[in-house]
Amino acid sequence: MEMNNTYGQPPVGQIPMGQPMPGQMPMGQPPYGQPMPGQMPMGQPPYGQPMPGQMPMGQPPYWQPMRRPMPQLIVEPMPKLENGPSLLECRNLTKSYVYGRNALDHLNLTIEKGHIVGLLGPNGSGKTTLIKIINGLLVPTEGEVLINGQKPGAYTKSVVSYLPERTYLEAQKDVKSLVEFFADFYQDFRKERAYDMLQALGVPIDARLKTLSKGTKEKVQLILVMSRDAQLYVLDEPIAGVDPAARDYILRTILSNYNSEATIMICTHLIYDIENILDDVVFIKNGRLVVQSTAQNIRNKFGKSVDMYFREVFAC
Amino acid sequence: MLKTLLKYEWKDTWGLCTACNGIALILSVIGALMISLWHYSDDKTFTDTQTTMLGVAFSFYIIIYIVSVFAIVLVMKYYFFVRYYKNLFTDQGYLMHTLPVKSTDLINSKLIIAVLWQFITGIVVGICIAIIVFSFADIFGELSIMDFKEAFHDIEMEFDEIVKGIPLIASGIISGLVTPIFEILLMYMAVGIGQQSKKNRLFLSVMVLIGLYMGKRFLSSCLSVPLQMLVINEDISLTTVNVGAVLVALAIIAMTVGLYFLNKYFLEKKLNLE
Repeated sequence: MEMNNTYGQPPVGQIPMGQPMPGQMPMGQPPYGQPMPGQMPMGQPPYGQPMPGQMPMGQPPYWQPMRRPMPQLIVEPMPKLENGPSLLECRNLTKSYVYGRNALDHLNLTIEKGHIVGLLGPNGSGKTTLIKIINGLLVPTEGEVLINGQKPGAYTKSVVSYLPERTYLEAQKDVKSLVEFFADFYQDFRKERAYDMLQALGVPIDARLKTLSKGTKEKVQLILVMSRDAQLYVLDEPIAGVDPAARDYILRTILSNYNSEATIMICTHLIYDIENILDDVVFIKNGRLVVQSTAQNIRNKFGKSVDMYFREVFAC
Repeated sequence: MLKTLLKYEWKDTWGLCTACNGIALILSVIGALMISLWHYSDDKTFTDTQTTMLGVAFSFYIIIYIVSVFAIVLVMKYYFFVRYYKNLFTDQGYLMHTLPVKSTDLINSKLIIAVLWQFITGIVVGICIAIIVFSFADIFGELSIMDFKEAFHDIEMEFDEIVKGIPLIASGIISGLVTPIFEILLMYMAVGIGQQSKKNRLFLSVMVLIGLYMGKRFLSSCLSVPLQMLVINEDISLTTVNVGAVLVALAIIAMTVGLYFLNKYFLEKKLNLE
């Protein structure tokens, strides 16, 4: 998706920033804080009060652990857009650390092109380990991960755009030289798009990264990652460190800057903030796949939002 | 992509390395000026007290000079050690390892630039020594261009002997060229081993490096003792010495190649980014 040279003016046929994608729920409608259709309103019932169908707090007494059965495995395979290898395939993927338990335990997962997928799970469930293996930052102990049928390597890195949960850019460099760096290495990087977004956010391109605030650094990283025409975007906690207003912008940036055939995998704890942009959800628990389904199916089947369902599945 | 990696590696290291080498050269020029001044003091322009003070200042400066040049060489080595660690095994590694390049390209780019700077530093140190030596020669009149001409003339006279020793000389040159590569790869391997730990990775890498250096010293002593005994023994033919030198050069090359593949292994199979 190319941008015109005029700042802020998208080319003909491109969805302007802030406008919904075809078939997608408009951002901000219903406004944040308002319930989505079929979703339980936030804050009702008030915190501390039991939700309908939920066991009231204190019964059984808090000192007695509640025995929660392992959630039923729900795996609904994604429809394939075309023949050929899946975009992402994890086969029997296991990662054990010398100093700990298995971070991933024989995980099988297939993701196809053209989806926005939420990779969800509690802390320590193995989400980040999975993301690192996809990006070739960790080597699996057992099993394999394939992207377009290939193991992580120079090719897969040219089609995967990865946003880690930390600041990974050299603090001494200025924003402009970082844009040049990305343009030199990634053939699918669109410089004009990056400069347009940087200007829209008011990020000074001559400023060194170390002089910028944490939130601005995160925006710079996201802009660099989303300025690529990648096939798979892997975003690890893209909205965790920014204020709610910036979250709206980031989500709009994500939605308006990716090719519709590409897949976006978003890993976050802030499910409520992103669930209206998700097509599919993947729940991981103890390194195993627990749920893979469309977000709409979860709402229809369980009569609750993904956020509420997540809380139920992973209740402590 | 290797070209692009080399471009960025050169750009990133240029500033500090140029500054270090520049400081070494400036210190040498100041040293040469002080030596000239000391030489000038012999003409009785200065009083005895001034001459004594100049002598003390000169001696003090020479000590500082030698320490500084050694420090610069060490800083350069440590810089490339830390740079490899920071660039590939800390947060920056998340960027470097997600670039669409092979792991060998990452090693090659860092190795080539580090070795290049080692050679540049070697040349600069050579120039620094030459500046000081020639300044002294000016004082004592013991060394002149004629001395070099005579030395070269002697070499020409013994050309036949030199031809016989070509394997020895070639092995020496090859060892001299390969040793800096070996040392850089040794540092990289220390980082590769250190990052397998969960905590204190840099500290552990330094400790591993010290251990590897000690091992290297032990090994080189084991290799050099028999070679020296061969050289000392007058009954031994030049052919035997040549064979010994070639074997040493081959051993250094084999260890360097081995280290290269070990580093590749650490990047491809044992990458452990937190």
